[in-house]
Amino acid sequence: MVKKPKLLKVTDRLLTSICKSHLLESILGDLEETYAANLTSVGAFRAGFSYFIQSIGFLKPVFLKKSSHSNTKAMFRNYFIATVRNLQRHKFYALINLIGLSIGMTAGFFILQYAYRQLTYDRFLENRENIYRVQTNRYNNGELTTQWASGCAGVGLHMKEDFPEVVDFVNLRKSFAQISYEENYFSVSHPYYAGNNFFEVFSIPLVQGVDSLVLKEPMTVVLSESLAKKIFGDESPVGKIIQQNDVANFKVTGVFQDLPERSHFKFDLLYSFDSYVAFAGQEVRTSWQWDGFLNYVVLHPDVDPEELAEKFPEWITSREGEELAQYNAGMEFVLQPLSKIHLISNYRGEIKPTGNQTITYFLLIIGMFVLFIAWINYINLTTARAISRAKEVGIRKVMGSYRAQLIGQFMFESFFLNFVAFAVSAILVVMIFPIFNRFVGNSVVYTWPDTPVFWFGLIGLFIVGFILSGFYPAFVLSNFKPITVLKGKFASSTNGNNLRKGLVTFQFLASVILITGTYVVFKQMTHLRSQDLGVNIDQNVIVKTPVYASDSIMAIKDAVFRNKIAANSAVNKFTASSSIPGRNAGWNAGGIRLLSQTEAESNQYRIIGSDDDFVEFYGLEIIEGRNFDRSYGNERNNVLFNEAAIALIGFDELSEAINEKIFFWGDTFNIVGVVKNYRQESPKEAYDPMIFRYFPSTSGFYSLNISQGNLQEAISSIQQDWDQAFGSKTFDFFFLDDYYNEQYESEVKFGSIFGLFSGLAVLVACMGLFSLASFVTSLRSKEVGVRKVLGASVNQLLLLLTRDFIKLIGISILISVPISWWLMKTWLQNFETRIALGVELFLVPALLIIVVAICTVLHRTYKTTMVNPAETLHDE
Amino acid sequence: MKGTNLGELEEIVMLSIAILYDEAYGIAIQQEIKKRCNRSITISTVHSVTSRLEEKGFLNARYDGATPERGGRRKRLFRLTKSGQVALSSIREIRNGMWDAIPKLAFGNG
Repeated sequence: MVKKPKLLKVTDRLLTSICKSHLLESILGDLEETYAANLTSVGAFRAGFSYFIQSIGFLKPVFLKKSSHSNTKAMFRNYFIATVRNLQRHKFYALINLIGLSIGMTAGFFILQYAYRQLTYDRFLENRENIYRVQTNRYNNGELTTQWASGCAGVGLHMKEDFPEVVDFVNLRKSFAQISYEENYFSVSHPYYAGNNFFEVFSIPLVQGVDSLVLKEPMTVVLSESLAKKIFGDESPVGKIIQQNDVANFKVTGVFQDLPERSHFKFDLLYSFDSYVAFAGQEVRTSWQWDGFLNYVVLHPDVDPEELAEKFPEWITSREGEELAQYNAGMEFVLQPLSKIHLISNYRGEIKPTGNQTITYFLLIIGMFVLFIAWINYINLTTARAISRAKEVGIRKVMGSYRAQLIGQFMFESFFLNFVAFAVSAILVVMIFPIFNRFVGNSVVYTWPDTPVFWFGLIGLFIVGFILSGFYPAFVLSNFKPITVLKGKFASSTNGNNLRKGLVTFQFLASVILITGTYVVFKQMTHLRSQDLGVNIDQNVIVKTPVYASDSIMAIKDAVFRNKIAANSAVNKFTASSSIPGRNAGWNAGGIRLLSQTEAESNQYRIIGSDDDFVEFYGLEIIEGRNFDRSYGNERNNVLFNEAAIALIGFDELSEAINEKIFFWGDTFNIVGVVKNYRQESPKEAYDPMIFRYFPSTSGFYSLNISQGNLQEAISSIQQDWDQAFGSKTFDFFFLDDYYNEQYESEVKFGSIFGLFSGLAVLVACMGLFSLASFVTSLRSKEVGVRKVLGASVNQLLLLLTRDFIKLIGISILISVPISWWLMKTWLQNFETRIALGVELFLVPALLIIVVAICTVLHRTYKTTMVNPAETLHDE
Repeated sequence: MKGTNLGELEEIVMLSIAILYDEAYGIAIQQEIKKRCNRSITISTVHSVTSRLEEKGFLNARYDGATPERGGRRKRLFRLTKSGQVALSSIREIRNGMWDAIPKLAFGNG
């Protein structure tokens, strides 16, 4: 006899247990004979391996035993029949379960895919684990003054020079220039100057051109595919010359694939950074005092970014310490992992609006809540109704069912219901998907999640849910002792009563938290909107000023436009400014101080340049001194401060500031007036210290106030004036109130989503409560009859039947308060102006839930108590 | 019901069994096929073909001839049944008839 390894003996045992007995001897014999022959010819390992492979060949139906004591197919058929009959008999509960599960799954899907999108930005970029963005924080007199996404210019280059850990860097700088091709102007939404190795560091595919070459030379430009198509149509763009601001010629060297929506990048045009150096000088490569540059560094794969970041403070001191000390200023660099930028970063100079980590996680939790509430409904209803299945279980056991078989049966039922719900929700998802995404998506392009990870995860989640929600009821149901059940002694299901109570409490806990959340979000949004902005934003059309290469040309064209507009009856008021309300000032200047102060006392301010109509146009209030007035002449040396700036520069009284001289980048300015604080950005933000400078013709924005009435006509008359003044320069306009409100957009969306899903959660929870109440009440109908006969009043009976539920809801409200207090406090931290978390905010949702729950329960109990006792008692 | 038609592999297996006469069991059949047709088939394939043929009533099986390299297990020896023999010879006749019906020119060897 040949000796075989242990593994092969296991194989033998397996074959023995599943193969037809009359074939078994020859199968094993033949396998072993082959093995013995192979042993001598090819060696033990390969013989063993081939033995194993060959025995797998015997796992075919021809060889398999017909199972003698159970017939799988018939069993499932029986399970199926039992399931369908049971569902038919209790249509009401089946429907509640089905609707609840379907809503839960649908809601879960939407929330999960939304959160998944938010959490998986920039996944198309290779090497993303090693790429970090350097975010710059600036301090003045020890206080954090500005947080830049696009920080100081030289940090990337110098990091690469000084730290061996930094392998490479790329810098980017936003461009504000207009472009034209053969006298046609094109509006470009996101033009940037990009370092020459941009396409090597970031794996954005080039349709035309070579990664390492396209941005190498000064005065070269790479276009996105869609922009290239817009400008050149079907012609090949490479080699063509486009003009920037009518004067600078850029050669197109390549075309890159349009960027996916899920990226913190958004470019349609990239100039080579060297072009910017040619315009602005070497300083833009090396300066530490010039902000507005995005710097990305590539770290060596073995480097721990935290360890590297620990070296920064010392490095900053050695590089820039003296300069900073002079102004009593400080700097700080933060490394932001590339793939998390979308979630964690929301600072000055982002490329496009970023997401919000807290909100994403909040939504994720809400989605899971709705899903869990639905599963809990299933568990509660199934276990509560166990009594109605008890006889069936008893009979099955008497007939010889094993416990495992019963568990299998009930698991099958749960699987069946989950599966139907899954199918229903799949249909719902397909139907609602476009609507939902129009609602939450901020772009036209919104497609199904494209990664298998998401779908497998989703299916995995549903399987886990099905097992969790199916296993416990199956366990309870199969646990009945046939003898007790069939004797008829089995009165009511006390089994798992506490668990059921716990689960109901959890459902309502989640519901109360969600409702409270919705209420707080709603209140906060109302609060924000009811804030006095201190600025008029209604009925204003904003047009971006054209860009000209020289200020003198701009001044002439600007004057022409002003004259035209003054004669235009559709326009009531007009002003030009470097920024508009709803938009950050853009110009952020440091080193500003009173002439009497030292450099160490200087600070950073936001600067807006405007003509003398700005204050009046936007209804700003001058609370001290005077406004700009062109008739004074020499206004260029005067500035206005806002209240916050007055406080920052160190005056206690507004009047002290008037006619004080300030030092601003080498020039001296005279403070002539103080503007009352107003909301330049949204009320979400604090009042920034702002300085207004006088520029009679600034580049930035024209604001035009138009009368109510025909908007279309007003716009076209303005455009006519525009065309006469500026020729074919792009007329790019928008309405200020829409623009201003865009700042709230994410909050409004969050509020709506929050409200929607909270509503669903409460609905599903109430459905569960409703059916649970009706079932429990129906069990007690005899008790109610007896009590009625003995003289109990309807009110007493109602109290008796409702009490238990109310107690549970009371408990969940009590638990919910600290949790929602903490959650809402966290959320409110996002806002500079926020509501206080008063008692009322918790009381209203709690009352709402109590009322809804009582109504739900009462509807059922009232019916039971009104029944004539003769009816419930007559069959005893 | 499965037809009494023979597949090509079934035919080969039956022919091998006929050749081996009293020594036809799994491995012997496998080796015979290897030797004559230069075809490697797995042992489980042999087994599933013989099971199928048994079902069709073309084979008889008996256990005999244990050897030590088989772990003392007996061989399952096959023999053609009457109807098996009939099936084989009818295939042969059909084929022969068809061969004969081919016009000489068709093979182009004159």
